[in-house]
Amino acid sequence: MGTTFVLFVEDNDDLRQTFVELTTVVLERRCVGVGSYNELVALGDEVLACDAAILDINLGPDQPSGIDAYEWLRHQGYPGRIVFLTGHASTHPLVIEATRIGDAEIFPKPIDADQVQSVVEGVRR
Amino acid sequence: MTLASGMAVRHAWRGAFAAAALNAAGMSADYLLGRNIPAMPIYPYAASVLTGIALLVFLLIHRQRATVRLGSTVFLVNNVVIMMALWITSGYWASTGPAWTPFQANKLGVLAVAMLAPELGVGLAVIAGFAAIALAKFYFLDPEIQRGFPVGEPWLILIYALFAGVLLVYRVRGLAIEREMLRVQAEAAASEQLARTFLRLSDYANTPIQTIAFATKLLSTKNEVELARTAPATRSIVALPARTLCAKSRTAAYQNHVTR
Repeated sequence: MGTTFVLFVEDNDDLRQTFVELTTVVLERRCVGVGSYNELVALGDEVLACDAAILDINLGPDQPSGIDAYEWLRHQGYPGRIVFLTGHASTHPLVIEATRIGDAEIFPKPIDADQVQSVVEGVRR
Repeated sequence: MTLASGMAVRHAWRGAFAAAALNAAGMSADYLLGRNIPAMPIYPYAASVLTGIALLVFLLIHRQRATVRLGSTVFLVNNVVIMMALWITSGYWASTGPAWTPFQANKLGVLAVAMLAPELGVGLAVIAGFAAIALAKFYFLDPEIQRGFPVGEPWLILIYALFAGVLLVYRVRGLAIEREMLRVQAEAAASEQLARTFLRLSDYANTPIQTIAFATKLLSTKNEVELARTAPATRSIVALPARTLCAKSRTAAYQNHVTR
C-alpha cells in the first residue's frame, strides 16, 4: 500500500464505499471517503495531505456543492490535483461553473478504474 | 382546449360581448337624440337595446362553455337586429332635412365590426350588410329627400366599408399570428421540459452505473473466475460513456434549438 492517499467526496454512500474499496484494493492507495462538504470541513487539516482530490460536483439538493469543496480546499492551501466527477450534462449550471475553474479537470460518470488510476498517479490519459 | 384555441374563444366572446354592450348603449343614446323627431317610433330602438341586453346575459351565462361559433352567432344576431332598427329609424332621421349627416350609424357600425368581429367571414358579411342597408334605404327614400343628400352620399358608405374590410383582414390575420406564436411557444416549452426530463433521468442513472462499474472491477480483481463472468458487464459499461455523451449532446442541442 502506498504512503499517499486519495480524497473522494461523494454524497452517494454506495459509490463512495465502492470507490474507497477499489482504490484501496486495486490501486493500493489509502483513500478517505467523505459524504458532504460539512464532513470535509470537519476533517480539517487531515485531508490536506492527500495527493489527489476527486469531488462529485452535485453533493445533493440544497447542499454545498463540489465547487464549494474545491474552494474550501484551495482556501486552506491545498496544492494538489483536484478532479471533478459528474453525472450531469455539460449544460447543467454547476458543471458550467466547474468548467470555468482553470486548474481542475472534469470527468463525466461513468469512468473506469484505469482513469481513476491515471488521476491518482497524476497521469493524464 | 389548447392555449391558442382558448385564446380564439376568448377573442370571440369578448368581441361579441363588446358589440352587444355597444348596441345597448349606442341605440339608447340614438333614441335620446332622436326622440323629438316627429313620429319617430320607439320600438326599433327598444327591440335593439333589449336584444343587446339579452345577448349580454346569454354570453355571461355561457361564458364557461363559450366557443368561437357561439361568439360569431351572437355577433351576427346582434348586428342583424341593429340593421333592422337602422333601416326603420334612418328614414325618420333623413326626413329632418340637410342638417342630418346620412347614415352615420351605419358608418360607425362598419368600423366597430372591423374592431370586434370574431371571424373574418362574419365580419365581412356584417360590413356588407351595413353598407347594403344604407344604399338600399337611400332608394326607398322620397326623391325630394334624396336630392337633399350631400355630394357623394350615400356612396361614401362604400369607402367606409372598404376601409373597414381591410382593417378587419389585418386584425384577423394579426390575431391568427398571435395565436400561432402562442402555440409554438407552448410547444417549445413542452419540448424543453421533455429535454430537461431526459437529461435529469440520464444524470440520475450515472451514479448507480458508476457504482456498478467500480464494483465489477473489484469483483474481477478479487477473483479470477469472476473476471470472465463480469466481462459482459464491463464491456457494456465501457461503451456507456460514448453513448451517454452522444445522447446528452443531442438532448442539449435540441434544448438549445427549442429555446432559441
